[in-house]
Amino acid sequence: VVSAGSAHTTPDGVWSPDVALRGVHPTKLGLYTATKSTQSFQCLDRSKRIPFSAVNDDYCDCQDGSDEPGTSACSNGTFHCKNKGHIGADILSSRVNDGVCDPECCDGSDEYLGLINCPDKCKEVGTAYKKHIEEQRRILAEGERLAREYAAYGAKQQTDRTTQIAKLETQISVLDGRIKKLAEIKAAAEAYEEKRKAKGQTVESAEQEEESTRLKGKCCPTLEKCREMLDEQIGHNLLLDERIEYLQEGAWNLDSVEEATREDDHAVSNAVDGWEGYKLMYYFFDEETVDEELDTADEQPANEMPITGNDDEQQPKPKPKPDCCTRLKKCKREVDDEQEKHLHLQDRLEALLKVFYHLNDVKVKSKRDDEAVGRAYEKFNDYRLMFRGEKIPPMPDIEELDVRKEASEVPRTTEVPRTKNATEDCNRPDAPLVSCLRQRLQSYSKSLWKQMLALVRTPTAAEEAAMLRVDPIKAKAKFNLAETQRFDLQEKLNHLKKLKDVDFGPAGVWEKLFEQCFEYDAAEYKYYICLLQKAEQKPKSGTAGTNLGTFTRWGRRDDKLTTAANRYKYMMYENGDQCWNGPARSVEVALECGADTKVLSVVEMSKCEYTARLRSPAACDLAIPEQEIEKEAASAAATQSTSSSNRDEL
Amino acid sequence: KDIVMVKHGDFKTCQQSGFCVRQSAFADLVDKVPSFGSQYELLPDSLKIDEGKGVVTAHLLDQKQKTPFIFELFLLEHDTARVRIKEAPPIKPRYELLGDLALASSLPASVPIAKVNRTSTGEEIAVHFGVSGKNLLVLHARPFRFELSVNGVPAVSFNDKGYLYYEHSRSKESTPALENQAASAADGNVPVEEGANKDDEITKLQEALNKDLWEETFNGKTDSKPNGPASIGFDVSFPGSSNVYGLPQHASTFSLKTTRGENREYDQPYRLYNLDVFEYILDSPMALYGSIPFMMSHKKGVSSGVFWLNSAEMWIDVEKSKGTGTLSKLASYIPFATSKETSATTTSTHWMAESGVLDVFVFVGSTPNDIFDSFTAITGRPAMPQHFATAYHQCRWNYMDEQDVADVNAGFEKHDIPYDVLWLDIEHTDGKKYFTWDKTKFPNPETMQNNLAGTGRKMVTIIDPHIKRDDGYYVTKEAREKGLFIKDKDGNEFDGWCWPGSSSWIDYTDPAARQYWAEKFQFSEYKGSTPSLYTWNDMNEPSVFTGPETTMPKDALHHGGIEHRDVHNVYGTLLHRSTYEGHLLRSKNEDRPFVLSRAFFAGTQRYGAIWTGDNTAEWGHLAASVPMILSIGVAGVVFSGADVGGFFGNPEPDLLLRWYQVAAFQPFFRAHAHIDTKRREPWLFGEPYTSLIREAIRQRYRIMPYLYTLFWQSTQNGSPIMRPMVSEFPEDENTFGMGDQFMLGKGLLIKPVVQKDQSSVDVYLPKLAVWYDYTSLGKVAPSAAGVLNVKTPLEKIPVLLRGGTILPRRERIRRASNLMLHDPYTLLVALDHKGEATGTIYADDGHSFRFREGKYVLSELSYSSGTLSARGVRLGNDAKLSDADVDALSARVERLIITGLSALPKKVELDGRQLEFTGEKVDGDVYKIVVKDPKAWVGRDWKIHVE
Repeated sequence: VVSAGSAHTTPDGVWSPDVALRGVHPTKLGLYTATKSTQSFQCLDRSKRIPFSAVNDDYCDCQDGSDEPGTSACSNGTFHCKNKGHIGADILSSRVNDGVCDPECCDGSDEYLGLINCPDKCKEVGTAYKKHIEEQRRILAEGERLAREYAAYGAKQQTDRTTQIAKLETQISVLDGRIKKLAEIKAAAEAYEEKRKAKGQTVESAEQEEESTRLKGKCCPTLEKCREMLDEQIGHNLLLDERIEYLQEGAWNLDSVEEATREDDHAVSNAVDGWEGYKLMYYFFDEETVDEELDTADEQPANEMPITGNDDEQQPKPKPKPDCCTRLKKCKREVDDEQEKHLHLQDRLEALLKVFYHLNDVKVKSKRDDEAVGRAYEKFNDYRLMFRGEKIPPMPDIEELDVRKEASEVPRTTEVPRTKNATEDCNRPDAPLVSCLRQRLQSYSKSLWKQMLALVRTPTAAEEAAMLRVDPIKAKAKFNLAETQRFDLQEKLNHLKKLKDVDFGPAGVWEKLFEQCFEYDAAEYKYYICLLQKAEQKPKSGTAGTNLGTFTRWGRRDDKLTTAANRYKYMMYENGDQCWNGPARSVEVALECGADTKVLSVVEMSKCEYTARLRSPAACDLAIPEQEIEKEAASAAATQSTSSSNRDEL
Repeated sequence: KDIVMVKHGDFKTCQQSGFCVRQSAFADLVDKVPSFGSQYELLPDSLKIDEGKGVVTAHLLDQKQKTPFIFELFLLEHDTARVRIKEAPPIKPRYELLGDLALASSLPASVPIAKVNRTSTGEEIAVHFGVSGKNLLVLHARPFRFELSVNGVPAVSFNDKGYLYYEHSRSKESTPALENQAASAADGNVPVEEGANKDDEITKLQEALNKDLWEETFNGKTDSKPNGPASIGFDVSFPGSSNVYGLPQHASTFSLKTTRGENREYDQPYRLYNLDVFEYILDSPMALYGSIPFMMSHKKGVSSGVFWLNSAEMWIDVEKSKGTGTLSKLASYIPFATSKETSATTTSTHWMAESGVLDVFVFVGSTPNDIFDSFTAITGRPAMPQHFATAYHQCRWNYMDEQDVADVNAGFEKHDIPYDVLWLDIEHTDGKKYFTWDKTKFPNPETMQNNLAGTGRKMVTIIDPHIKRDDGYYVTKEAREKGLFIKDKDGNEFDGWCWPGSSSWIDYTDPAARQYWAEKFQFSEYKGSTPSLYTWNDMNEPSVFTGPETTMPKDALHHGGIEHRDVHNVYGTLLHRSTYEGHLLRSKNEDRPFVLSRAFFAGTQRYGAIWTGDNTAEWGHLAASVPMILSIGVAGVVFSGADVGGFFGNPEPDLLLRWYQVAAFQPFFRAHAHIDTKRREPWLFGEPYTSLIREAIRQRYRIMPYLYTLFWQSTQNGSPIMRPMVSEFPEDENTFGMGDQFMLGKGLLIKPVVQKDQSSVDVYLPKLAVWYDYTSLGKVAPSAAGVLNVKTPLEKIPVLLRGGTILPRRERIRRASNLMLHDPYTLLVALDHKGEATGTIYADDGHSFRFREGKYVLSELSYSSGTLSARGVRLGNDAKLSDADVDALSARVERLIITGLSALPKKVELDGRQLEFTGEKVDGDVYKIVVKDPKAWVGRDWKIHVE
């Protein structure tokens, strides 16, 4: 029962200092106490002075409500409950003496008029709070620890991705060049094939017949020797391959050199130019295995090599065991090929080394400021350390294998003079790279190189002939393979780029959980949230699921409510299945810190607008101020101790 | 943007309604063919006058049809005349039970006739009645008609235009006689002026008189009409009056538009037929959810009203014409009548109903307030609502589960926005079976309600009249066993489609069904309900998705073989009533019911609130809410409101805010939204909207003592809470046509902002009063024409305080209104020209019926000559309460604000005790003082002197 006008005074109606201090926050007690020097109360906003008797007299005098901390008289004031045994709390003045036991005031001090009896629950609330806060601390600490792990993981992924992308981009650009050339070769070979078919004869038939049986008996021992030579040569080539591979790896970095560095440093510019030239000339042979596969597709004699795959009549015939001479002939061709390759690899290595010799002269600043230059230089240094002193053995002499007394052919090496001078010239640091390379290339009569060369300048008749001997099937296969390879690389690159553009949250902390799906079991449905990917709803009845949206952005559904502070506390999945008479489905996922990742709730707040809560270490701040935890825990404990469901209080 | 609006084709026009065609054609023939004339004659020899009882009876003959009728006139208190015309005897009985359902349980007493004059031929009878015989009703025998005047000023004229046309009951075999009559009139004896075209037109009209007599099909649905034609039409004119009001519910202007005659504003009559209209359009006479066949008119000095007690489908034409009709005839009985007429406009109305009887109440008085009083004396006084019901309600289709409810509640707590009631729409049920809960979403409804109740809050669940045809559903089973469902024309349980799918409808016209329904609300029956749970009746037009015009077929059968067509418009109210009675039953008559209904009829005010139905989140709908609520309010249903924000669609935040700002001053204040819309709880739009909406809602809570007093006053005299300007300023002709601003009680004038980015609004301020800005309390200075331009930044809509008002407020805004019942008052005194003001405070326990036993506080406040006097008063037999009782029901005045003083006072005193006060000069050269805590108790007697 309310009695008249007694709210602000003692039962006998007299003002007392105790009443004056009711609801005052402990830190402000001084302001509410009369001293010798202050005989009146000053509103805390300093707008007014009133006698101390007007403090807590149940009439609002101060505009800021500060004169009535202990009553409900001011609509903008707060009341402090001491909550002895727990933690003090401030509640709105409008909740003082409103007949409701506010959970925040566990001591019941806000209801002193007797409209309701609010027992002091602070002891049990305090105990629950302490327990809760400890648990909370433990969970948060664990969450934060995991968050740091996640962040480290995310950071590494991001670095790896950057490197990968650079490499892939270079590979693709080179491959593009190659594809262009292969297309041309293919076209030429196909055109030639057409022409040849029209003539009705194979290119090599005359030559092969002449060689056939003349020198049969001498062939077998020489074949053995040839085999040894072939093995040796292959070994040498592998050594060269290794070195080239190593240097190339370093050289890819040059693709990422910044324009500014090139302009600033002549040496860098030279290196990059050299590398560009190198790629133009050599990168084709990166796919050596392809050639091998096609070259040695079976054991059939070279002279029986089918011209087209459509020649069905020859297929069922049993193949006779080739004699030594035939095999020798084949072996010699192989050695010949390997040696050609060797020469090529040597050239290639030299060209690469020349690129790197330029790097010897780059400025310290370039190495320091341009990551790409730095890395390339480092790799080159490593190379020098690794392969220092290791010599590539000289090439065996293929002429030893000639079973004919008189050489029927001019040795190939003399076709194009490979003088010491010429080599030395080309080894000079200021040698004109491209012309040197072309010079070398002219020595390979049967290689694709020659054919390629034909494309960059008007081919000689011999070169054209050689080029025309390219099997159109092989040319097509090579081209197709390169295309496929480019497609794969592009796919890989697109994927990486996409990932690179994904905002994995602060310090990339969410990448750890990227595309992981978490389930929530609602009454009729199961919900799936696949992080930073998509959200789905599947009815338990087993009918088709509903797409609730794909991840689009961080922040609130209503983006106007997104702030720098809360941006990473929400994720949006949008553009899901369209609703009848409503919007496309979307989910706003509110994130909270915890030691594990779990969907806590999913609710369809408005038609087709879902709201989910998800707990995860990834949502933990990497460092949370301690008092935040306490505040949160205090509120949670207070709420838990009552039956009220006002979870969001405070 | 392609917005799906109401499909006109889904609802009938007059041309698609057989009786509307027939009655309209009759009226047109009367107009076009002079000899067609009115065909009804009172037989003077049969006249019987009981002067003591105030009753006049006579035989009335339809000369053309040769069918007899009985005319009855009853004179009643509250300046009311009841006129009844019935067939004598009908071949088929007509529905005459409506009075028992729709009228107040005790009607005004009859009054004796003061004086009767008759002409020598007996063809004119002048009946004087009312206080000192000020009302004069003149009956004319041939053609039959009557006029009613007040103090010599003509007010109402019945059958002035000769449109009275009563389709007598007949058998299908009999030849309709009227056609022949009309034909012969056209063929021979009538001089036709315009030749062939005119002939054609008249022939068509004659044919129209026979349209759809025995069967009628609309949109592929056929009305079997086994009883044939039974419609009734008549005209009522308001001589000298340019405005008629009422006839809810329409999304139209407050002063009704013309629908007949040249330059008519609508090409259709106003229709009254309770319908569930999907996305209704604005500025239209189309029928909506409720129907009250009541119309009011006002001219300077005289107000009048007409109420037709009839619940069948009705169409009403409004026509305005120059001149004063047949008043010259009346003048011979009132020699001074014409001299008083200044306006030359007469408004005539043509009323057409499909069936029932002619039972018309005519009310006269000098102001609209007299008419409100008379009309609610007949149809019942508004119920005193629960205090919480007058606060702010939060609703949505749907709050999905208990967690959602808890979250929304927590949102209000967190943002410190007060609200009193949280509502649950149809999704809370188990498969739309009312009185049940969805067990997964609402496993613990009692706990949920108790949690809300812990902070003084209530919950409302929806209960609709369609019952799922599911044998496992106990309501279906019980109602079926007891035979309480409406039957189809063949006598089988009517089966239609609504929310639950296949459904049947409880027949609330059956007393047994009402009793059964009421019992369903007992806590033992309605599992999961608690005393803090109240009810919302929706879809009670009734809405039948598969029915003609989305409602019940007219040939469906009710208790006693009554056709649905006879009771259609009252059906929804009978559900409302049954639910109300259920609430009484469950609390053993302790707790005042709170029931919201969508459909309504005359008398709905006895049971609770209504809302204007499914509006749209558009500025136009915000604007329309004002005339709609005004029209409903003048027709007795004082507790109504529109869905804040608009039901369909998503309001922009500024529209939502503007809606809150005006709805805070409207009787029923509830936010509601369609399930397809985005969430729009007040805090979801960020700043400044959250703060501004909070402030708008707080404005509501501040004035709740004033509002509650208005509600109480309404229970005494039927005065609307939200009043048209004309009823507060009946002497100011500028207000007569006004429907875009309104008064809340006598003291506050509100003009909503109904356009986007509107930076200022013109308000009309009647010159009879002094006006203060409600925020600054400074006196405002309107133009000579009475117009004040008010700046309307987002935080403000024009609210003006009328000088002469003492307005009680509570400044301590709590989270729910019932928590404020013990809080002290602030009295706001705004002085008028003479430096005076008056006001009233009514208070009670806020929820029970103990006020009927005198447990209430009523304080009359007046300020004059520098003295504010408070006087506790008692009504009728109520004994004085003890001071302790007064104190328990009331509270002290903690603050007194007086504005309009010409100078700062020297001192302010209460019983010789000096009171602290501060003062300042405010706009308009007046002073405002704030007196600190006079410790004066509302309900006790005291005086404060301002010197």
